[in-house]
This record gives sequence, structure tokens and C-alpha cells, in this order.
Amino acid sequence: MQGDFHYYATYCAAFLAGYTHEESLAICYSAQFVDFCSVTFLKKIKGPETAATTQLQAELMDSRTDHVGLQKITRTWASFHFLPRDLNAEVKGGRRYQNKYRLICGPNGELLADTVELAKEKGLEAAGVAMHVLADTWAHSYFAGTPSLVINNTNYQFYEILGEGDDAETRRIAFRHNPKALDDPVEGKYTNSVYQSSENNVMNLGHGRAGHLPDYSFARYKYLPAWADYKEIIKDNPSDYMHAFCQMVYALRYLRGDIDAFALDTYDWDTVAPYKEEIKEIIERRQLLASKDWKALGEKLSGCTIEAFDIKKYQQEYVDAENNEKNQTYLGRFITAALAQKSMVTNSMAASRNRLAGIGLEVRIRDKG
Amino acid sequence: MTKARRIGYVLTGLIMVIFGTAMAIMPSEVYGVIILSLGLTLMLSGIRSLVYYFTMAKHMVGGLAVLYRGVIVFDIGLFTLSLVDVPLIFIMLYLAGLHGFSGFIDIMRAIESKKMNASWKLNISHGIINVLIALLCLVFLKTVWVATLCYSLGLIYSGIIRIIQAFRRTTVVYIQ
Repeated sequence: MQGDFHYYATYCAAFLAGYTHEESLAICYSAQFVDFCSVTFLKKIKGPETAATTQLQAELMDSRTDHVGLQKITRTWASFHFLPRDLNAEVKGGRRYQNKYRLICGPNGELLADTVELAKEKGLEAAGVAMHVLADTWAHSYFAGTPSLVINNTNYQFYEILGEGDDAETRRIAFRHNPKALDDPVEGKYTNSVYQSSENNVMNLGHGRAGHLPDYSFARYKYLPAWADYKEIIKDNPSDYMHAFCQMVYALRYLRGDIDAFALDTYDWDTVAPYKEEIKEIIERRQLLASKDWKALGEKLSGCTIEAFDIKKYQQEYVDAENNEKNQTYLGRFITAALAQKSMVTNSMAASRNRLAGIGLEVRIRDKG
Repeated sequence: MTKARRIGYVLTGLIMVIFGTAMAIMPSEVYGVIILSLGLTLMLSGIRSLVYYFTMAKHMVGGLAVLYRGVIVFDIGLFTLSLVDVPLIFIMLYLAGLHGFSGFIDIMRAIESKKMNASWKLNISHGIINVLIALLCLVFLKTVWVATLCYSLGLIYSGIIRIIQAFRRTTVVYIQ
């Protein structure tokens, strides 16, 4: 998913869930910031590098794919962008294959419930982090947040589905590899990562081999994933994005205290109902970025102007704060939430005897009071 | 990281450092050693591909390609070992390509870091050194001692990095 959904659509979901304009802005900023909090950024503000929630392209190119490097990549991408659906999934094959297979992302897994519950009463920044993770479980389904050819590879059997029902047509996608070329949804020209035969090559991380198609809300496509034993998968992004939106509203109502317990596979269709057609239209419009449309909807809902995302917004506050006060700043609270999420996912993986993200060490921090 | 893996990292690191140093001290023996290394590397790469196929890639759509690659690379490795003489130019081009690519990545990384006002000087110096070594290889395409020096230094550097990796803290702190 991109800024259109993580920032503007999250704002809409938060406002519909009952948060104020300012609270919704804080939540959607945090949700979007997950895509910007890299080691490079943390070095710049002198924050803890272990709290990184993403890796820049240059950082990825630079990272070693040895045992330790792979764990670092997996901790970041599996925790925030490709939350594993089932850490105990059974599949034919050895332990090594099984461990990678179990990291395949998907919605409504146990880890999602853990993610949302972890954010409860931890502030708006933690809620934003959880919303980013939740939304990505829908967009990034069927790919894993670890470099893996045997899981994330795709081949030439890749078709875009145009239209719906009986009128639906398929159009074969011939991917290009030029990272500077913009995707062209009219002509059906998309860019993906180059095939790399090495299992752990960073080019085999996540949905690189499917290009940005999982990030486009309008896209419907079918393809042969590497892991599904030659069974075709149909990915219906408009439906998935609508589910993601309604689940965000539900989860945010839980975090706000309107609902006692968070249940998986539950969506707040009723709250969204008055705006369903409008949202459906935004989601299905064939455009690379729907920020303008989501922004207009958000401003219509709240009657307030939604400022554009600015990576520097809270930077100075964090830099200027004394060391013992940094945790009380916006970025400090974001970093705490990110560390907690990363550690929870790492520990859950280690508990399932999957060491692809390393081993977590539990530390309990007692309140001085 | 498990203790066994840490020990493995230290041992392979030490072997690489000793091997690299020996090559730098005895350059006359190096040419044959480089050919031997290339042949063995290809054979090991072939074996790794075969192991990868039987443990993982056979479950993958289109995984047979990995099996074919393993067999072919192993075969090329055997063929390389059987050669009495490999033209020096190929070794130098291999080294130039390796260092040039690493340098390019380092420089790109430094440019991106600089754009974000993060530390970039170490990366840019690594990048420039790598590019200079690549140029050195290209300029002295027919000189044995340059190949020896580049290969030995590269090996020693990799060995040291491997040893450092063995002592890296890999545990994640879980805040509750």
C-alpha cells in the first residue's frame, strides 16, 4: 500500500471510528511514517536503529544477506509490512522450506490480533503503527517479508483482470524492469524486480516480483505464485482494500474503547455504509495514487483541512528533547510502539521454532512509581 | 545466532585471513591458487544449487531450472579445474567487475544518505576505494602482482568482516 491508503484513508477510518480531526491526523501520520522510519533516518535524529520500520532501497542494496543480515531484513519487513498469517502452517518439505512458507502474509492471522491488542492503550502512535500493519496484511497477501525465491517468485503466467462478472477480460502482463519507468495502467505496462536465482537475494523480498500491483487498489489479477503447487491465485484488490478499510474502522473503535474485545474477521460495515459507494469508486478508479480522492473524502467527513505528510514534522521536537524526555515526544512514542511490534513478531516467530527473524530477549520495564 | 554458527563464522574468517595473507606473501604460487579457487567455487556453487533444489526449490513453480543450473555449474567447475592455463585477463575482469559494482552500490548509498542529512562519508570513501581498485585492475590488466594484491586484500577483508560478524549482538530486546 502507498501513502494514499496509509495516510489519507487511515485518516478517514480514524475519523469514522470516532477520533477527532487532530487525533485522526496523529494516527494517520504514524501509519504513514512506518514507510519512512529507516536506519538512515534514525541515524540522522540519533534514535535507536533497532526501531527501523522500513529499509530504503539503497539500504537494501547495501545489506548483506548472510544469516544476521537476513534476520534484520525479516524482522523489519515481516513485522510491519508482511505480517505472517499462520506461523504453524503445515506444508510438505523440509524445515528450511517450512520456515519460509510460514512467513507468507495474509489477513486475519493470530499475529494481527496480537498486533492490534498490543497497541491498546499505548497511544495514537501505536494505533497508527497497528493500522499500517493491518492494511498491509490485505495488500501484501501471498508474499513473505523475507528474501525468498521459492516463496516470492512469479513467472510469465500473470494476467490482469479487466472488468467484472461475465464482462471480465484478461490481459497478459509483460513486466518491465526499468525502475524509472512509471507504471501505465492504461496500456497495462508494469515494472517488477529482475529474476534473481539466489534464494536469499534482496530482489526476492516481498512482492517485488509482482511489481507494484499489490499496492494499487484498482488492480485485479491472477498469477501462479511460486509456493502454491501450480494453483492459480486471483487477487481482487478492490475487495481486499474495502475489507481493509472496514477492518481498520472496527480495530480503531476497539482501540478507542468502544468495543471490549478485538475479534478477527470482523468489519464495521455499518459505520462505512453511508460512504460505501464513494469509497468503492475511489478504490476502483484506475490511477496510480488515490491521495487526492481520499483527501477530499477525509475533508468532507471532518470539515477540516488535512495537511500533506511531512517527514520533518516531529523531527525537531525529538532532536531537541533531553534524553530522558525523548520517549514523551511523538517520535519517541512511535519508536517505542515500533520496538514493541518488532519484538512481539520476532518472539512469536522464535516461539514457533522459526529463527528467520532471530531470537528475542524479554525485558520487563517497571514503572518507578 | 547460535554458538555453533558463531564458531563457524570465526573459523571460516580465520581461514580466509590466513589464506589471504599467505597469498600476499607468496605471490609466485598465487596464479595457480586463484584458478583452483575459481574451479572449486564453481563446483561448490553447483553443489549448493543441487542441495537447494532438493531441499527447497523442487516445491517451487519452475524449480527444475535450479536443478539444471546446479548440474551445469558443477560441470563448468570440473572443466575449469581441468584447464592448465586461464588467461589472466579473465581474472582481472572478474576482480574489476566485483570491486566496481561494490563501489557503485556504496556511492549510491552515500548519495541517498547525504540527501537525508545522515552520515555518508564512510560509505563514499568505501565506494571510491572500490572504484579505484576496479580501475587499477583495468589499467594493469596484464600484471600478475595487481591481481594477487586485489585478491589477497579482498580475502583478508572478507575474513575480518566474518570474524566481526560472529561477535555481533543479534538478540532483540522485547519491551513489556
